[in-house]
Amino acid sequence: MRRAGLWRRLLGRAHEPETVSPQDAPVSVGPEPDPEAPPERDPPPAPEPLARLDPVPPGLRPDLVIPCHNDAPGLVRLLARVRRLECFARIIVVDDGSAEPVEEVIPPAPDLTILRHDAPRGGGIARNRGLIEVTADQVIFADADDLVLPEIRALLADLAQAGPFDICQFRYADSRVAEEGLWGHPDWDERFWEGADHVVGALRALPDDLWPVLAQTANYPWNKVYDTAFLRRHGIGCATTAVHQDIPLHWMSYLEARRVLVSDRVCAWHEVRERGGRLTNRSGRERMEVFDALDPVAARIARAARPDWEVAFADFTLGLIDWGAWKIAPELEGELRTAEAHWLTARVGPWMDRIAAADPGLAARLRARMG
Amino acid sequence: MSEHGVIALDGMLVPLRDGAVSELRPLDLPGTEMAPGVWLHTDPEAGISGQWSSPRGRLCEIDITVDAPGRWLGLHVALPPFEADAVTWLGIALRVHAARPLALRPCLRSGTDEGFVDTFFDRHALARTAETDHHGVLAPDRHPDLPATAPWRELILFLPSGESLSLALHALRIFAL
Repeated sequence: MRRAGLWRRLLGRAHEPETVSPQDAPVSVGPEPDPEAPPERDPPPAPEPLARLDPVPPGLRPDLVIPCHNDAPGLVRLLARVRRLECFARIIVVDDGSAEPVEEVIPPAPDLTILRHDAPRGGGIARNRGLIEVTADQVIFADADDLVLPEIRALLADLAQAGPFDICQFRYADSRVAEEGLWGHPDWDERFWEGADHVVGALRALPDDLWPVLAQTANYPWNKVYDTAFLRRHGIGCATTAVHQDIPLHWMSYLEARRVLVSDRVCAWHEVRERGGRLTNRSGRERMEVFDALDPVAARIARAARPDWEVAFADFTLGLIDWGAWKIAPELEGELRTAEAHWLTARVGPWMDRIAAADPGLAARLRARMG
Repeated sequence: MSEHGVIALDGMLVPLRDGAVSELRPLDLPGTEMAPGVWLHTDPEAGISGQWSSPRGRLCEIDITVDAPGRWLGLHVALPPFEADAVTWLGIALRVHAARPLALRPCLRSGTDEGFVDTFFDRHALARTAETDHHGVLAPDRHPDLPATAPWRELILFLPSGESLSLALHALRIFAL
């Protein structure tokens, strides 16, 4: 059954279902209509907007995959913005066990596919499920509480003329940065963009010696355009862990890519809430699963035996575990640090000679953490 | 004073706004014509090389390598004629980012029989590594040296002339009120 009340709250009156049940019919409280009165006129047409979004330029038309768990308002906001952009072939929403099914909130549309897990299985599994359904040559992920920004249209138009690529990483705007009156991503990501020598440039091919630098940016799934066949050919997807599911998608994409493009265009808006049910706010034992998410990447880097990747991933890992230690409940931090020592010894230990030669400071920090 | 409301003065930028030059082009020295009426001028005595483009959705990207510093480096935009004492404010709004923080100095250049007069906006615009918006106004009646009439005028964004730079000018609007 559709829920008209929720419809009204989320979409406004203009989008209400046309059918009204007898008990929902409005009750007349005014005088009876005068049968002699002239018929009501249609409301005047709305004036043309003085400013309009330009038509979408010809470009790639990727599918958009959106996992959603109990965030109907965010999804409605995102879909409204995405539809105006008119640049996606299809929108695939994976309802990850929302208490109120997405299908009861979002009206059906030809360009919209809604899949559902009856019980929550996590964002990683939801993204993987959506990826299976993708039919476009490229795919972009978005989270229900974030936004895709209009610059994506220019980027997709540029990409249509850029030749084959496996991934294209673009910039994003973060609500914490916006709160300080600025626009863009936080400093901790900016330093890697600067390190990769790409702060200015609408679209460039990134030299492969800089891939390990940019791979150390936050492992978000929604700041890239992915070639669908590339992901499938290498079996790349998200981890099925409770947290940090995006680590394999991000790192394996860089590790397996043959051509990486980068763009300084700000194409996504990341909304950060310090409280609430987002994964970043989890503090329980599930934080220990970070090592399961790191494992496949460590195994792939071990096969490559390239010091630049070993240094980049080891440095990233230390920062990530420190972040997890800040998030995890205090009574679990000791357990996390013990697991860290074991994991580093087993996975990073064999790389230590090469890391020490390339970055002695990092090697010293790793040894201290290995215990 | 003007009774026309907002008057757009940036018609010369339309070709760049439409992404007319998407491929990288080398700078022509000492002057690069980016579009009719839009020039990047450098000091002929400077040792400068570089390239530029006008990607979709932004006015231009400029990469400049400086081997020997020059005395000036500026983006010049020709303005339509207007009587300065007929406007309350000449205004600009711009969005910019750069590989390293840069100060841009907006200036109204007015042609005279002897040459030109430069009238600088009170505030510089700061380009950061993140996109930054800037707006500023120049009130002609607060600048007695600003000619009321001029055979030609330009809006100039002066860039640092002594260092290599990489800059993206996303948008620039010029208007009179």
